[in-house]
Amino acid sequence: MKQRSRRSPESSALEQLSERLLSEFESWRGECWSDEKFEALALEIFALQFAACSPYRSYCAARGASPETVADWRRIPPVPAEAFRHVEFRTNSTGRELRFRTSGTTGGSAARGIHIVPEPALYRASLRGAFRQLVLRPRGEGYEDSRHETSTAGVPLLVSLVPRFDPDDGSSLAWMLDDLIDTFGRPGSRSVASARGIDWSALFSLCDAVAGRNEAPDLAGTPVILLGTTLSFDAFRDRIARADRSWQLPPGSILMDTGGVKGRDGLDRDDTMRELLPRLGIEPSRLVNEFGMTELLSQRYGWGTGLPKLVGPPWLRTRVLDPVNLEPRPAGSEGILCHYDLANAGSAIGVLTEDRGVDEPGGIRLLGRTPGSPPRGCSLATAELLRARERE
Amino acid sequence: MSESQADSQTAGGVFATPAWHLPGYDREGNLQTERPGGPTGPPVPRLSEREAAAIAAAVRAAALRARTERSIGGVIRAVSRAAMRLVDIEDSLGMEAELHLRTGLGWSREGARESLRGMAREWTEDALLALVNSELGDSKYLEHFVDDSGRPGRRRRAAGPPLLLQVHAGNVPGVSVSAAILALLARSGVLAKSGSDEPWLLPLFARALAEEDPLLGSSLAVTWWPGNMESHALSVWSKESRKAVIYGGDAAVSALRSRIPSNTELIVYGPRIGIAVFLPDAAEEDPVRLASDALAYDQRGCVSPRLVLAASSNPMELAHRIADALAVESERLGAQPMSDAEAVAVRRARAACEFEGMDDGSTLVLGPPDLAWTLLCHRRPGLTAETLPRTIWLYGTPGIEHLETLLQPLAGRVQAIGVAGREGVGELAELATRLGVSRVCSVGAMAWPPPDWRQEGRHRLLPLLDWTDWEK
Repeated sequence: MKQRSRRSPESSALEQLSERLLSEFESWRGECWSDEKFEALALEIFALQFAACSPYRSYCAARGASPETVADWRRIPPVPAEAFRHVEFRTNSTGRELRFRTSGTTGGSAARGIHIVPEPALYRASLRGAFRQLVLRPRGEGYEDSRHETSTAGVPLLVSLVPRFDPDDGSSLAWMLDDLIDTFGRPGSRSVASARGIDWSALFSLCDAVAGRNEAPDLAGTPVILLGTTLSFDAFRDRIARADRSWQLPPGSILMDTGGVKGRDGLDRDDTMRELLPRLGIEPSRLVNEFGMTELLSQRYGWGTGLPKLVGPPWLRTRVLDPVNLEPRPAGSEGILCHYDLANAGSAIGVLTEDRGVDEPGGIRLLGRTPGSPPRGCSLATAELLRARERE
Repeated sequence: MSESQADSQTAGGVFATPAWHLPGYDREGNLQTERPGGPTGPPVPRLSEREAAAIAAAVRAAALRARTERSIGGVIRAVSRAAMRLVDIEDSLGMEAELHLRTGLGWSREGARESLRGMAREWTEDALLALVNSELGDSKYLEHFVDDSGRPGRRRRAAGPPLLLQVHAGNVPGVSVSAAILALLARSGVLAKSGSDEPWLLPLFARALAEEDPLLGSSLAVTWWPGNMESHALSVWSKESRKAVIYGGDAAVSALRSRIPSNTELIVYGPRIGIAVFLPDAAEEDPVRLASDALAYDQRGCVSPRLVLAASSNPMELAHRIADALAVESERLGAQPMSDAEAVAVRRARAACEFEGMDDGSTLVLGPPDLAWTLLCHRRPGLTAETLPRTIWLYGTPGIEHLETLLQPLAGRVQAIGVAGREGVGELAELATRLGVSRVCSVGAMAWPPPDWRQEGRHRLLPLLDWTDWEK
């Protein structure tokens, strides 16, 4: 109690707010939230972040925004994703904080950004609540958290193609997949990757086991949820093709990839999945694409191939904006995505991205990162020249 | 006339002039065009190898005939008259030129007219004659053999190759016209690919020239193709041309080098940067002059100031005065367009600057929310700048004695230094010679170099020419 009394009012307020949010996230069963509910919580978080986070307060003040002037959640100033490279947004210190590092794929500064998560429990609750409702339930399996199950019957085996979380690397994706494995996976669930790469023989062996082809009868018939980046699944496709292997994974199996729409490395998600899914015996309808970013603690999920419509929990709202004036683009029009995520209560609630997308009935279609602007006229970008000189 | 022909000749019904001018090109009325750059790109015919060769032959024949049938004075008169029509808003071609800048680049009427007027300063007869005389001493060298006063019995004549290839980039509109004029003054036939951003002005000039002087009009061929596309025009024309003038960034130039025969001499104009230096005794009006330089030609020029080095005690105070001037100039020129990609890049640059100095107040972002212009200010010295629309990077610097070390990484890539203030200009000019800067001038004059300025530190006409000595 003595320790608690030393905390700032904002810190105590945030803890209380976190508890309420935690309860909301954990108890969510797919219902919509009213605008009023989202707005009340968003404005409450904005007021806390404004009071507790000095860089954010300065940022808002420069735009004439404060809790006194902002009465609409859409007017809460979102911070550009770029800002995470320069500033630590943090509303309080809990001693439990997680530090995630951005991948550094965004143009501009080469430095990696940091997203500090003072209250990991809030992240867990958001992740689990949305995954349970948007990935497990819609397929009708009725999966529950494995730790609540009295037997492993029907509990899926979760296998990740991403190395486990390493605090030095700070990958939020790795942390997220670890938590999903620990929460929803039956015993034996694991990552088959490490810093050295993917252990293909271990992955093949697990596929053999659930397909009933090896000496692990307890896993035979267990539905499997394969988790990884689209890039890692493309490598999996290549391995399987070269080894000429295929399996009929048990009914209920799911493949969840993250990424794949950014056009990196010439990768085409549909091409990869067209070849991979038949070799795993997974229907295209059981392919789910996860959209997340280090700067956000909530995720969106979209089913199927192509550019799936991404759906998120009600505590994550996404606006499609005109990048020139940040006004909303009409529904169905392409713009840049601006996310408002209540799970970001401990950092920055609004994040302005460089991702292009379209808001359509039933979800957001992600079109990928805005391409770099082409050079104008015959003027020289010194940044490029200086970088080249540094490399010499 | 086929449907595609009608489309190509009206560009959607708005323009009368097609995006090409191809003497010797004849499809016997069966003209088919396509839009290799996509729906918003210009409609152009896809040339076969045979057609590209026929065009080169026709242009070569016309240029060689013009050498004997036209005096250099006649050439200057004809090209000047043709070019000046693009600036005449009473002339249908002038109206079309302005419309292209407004619809193609999205420029305001004021911005388009000012840009064309600025370019036209080097298209007058007087300016062209002055340019020729300043580089050759006597324009008659371009007409016939001239006695060499320094060596009795020797005569000299200068001429460009019969065919000269020009590959343009997204330059300041009108640069392509100036380049074609130079080649015609060199008595060369011109085979040109226009720039992607603005592929219309050069065909307009060619049409005007053909109306003014059909023979000279036949000495110039121009069309467009996407830079990454295999093109018969490029492969044939580069073989036929002994010299090629290329505008573009390092990557584009490098890609072209591999597609042009090794015995074709390349004259390359790459991207450069304009830098403004504010000395401690800069005048009160200098921020206004800088704003005028920066927003001219939508900041596309290699002389456009993009980097401002403030050798003043309070760079942030200077930044506010420059910002006030940019706001006024931007308002005067009217709204200019910005793509989503550019807007995202400007926002990223603004965020990087704003958050970089948030702890210690060492940075400042100035500019309206709609990104009409942006001034990114850093109290500390720096050089980083991107080619973003209407965006200036300002860095404080302790004094001009530090500039040599600071600017060393940009040696050979600075086109112009604009100076605000007087004390120290001499040192700056000396520094410019060491850094390979081709021009030192006052702020307010940066965007409008004189016609005989030696761009990139070299003559403009002489590199196109070959000299022949005739010793009797």
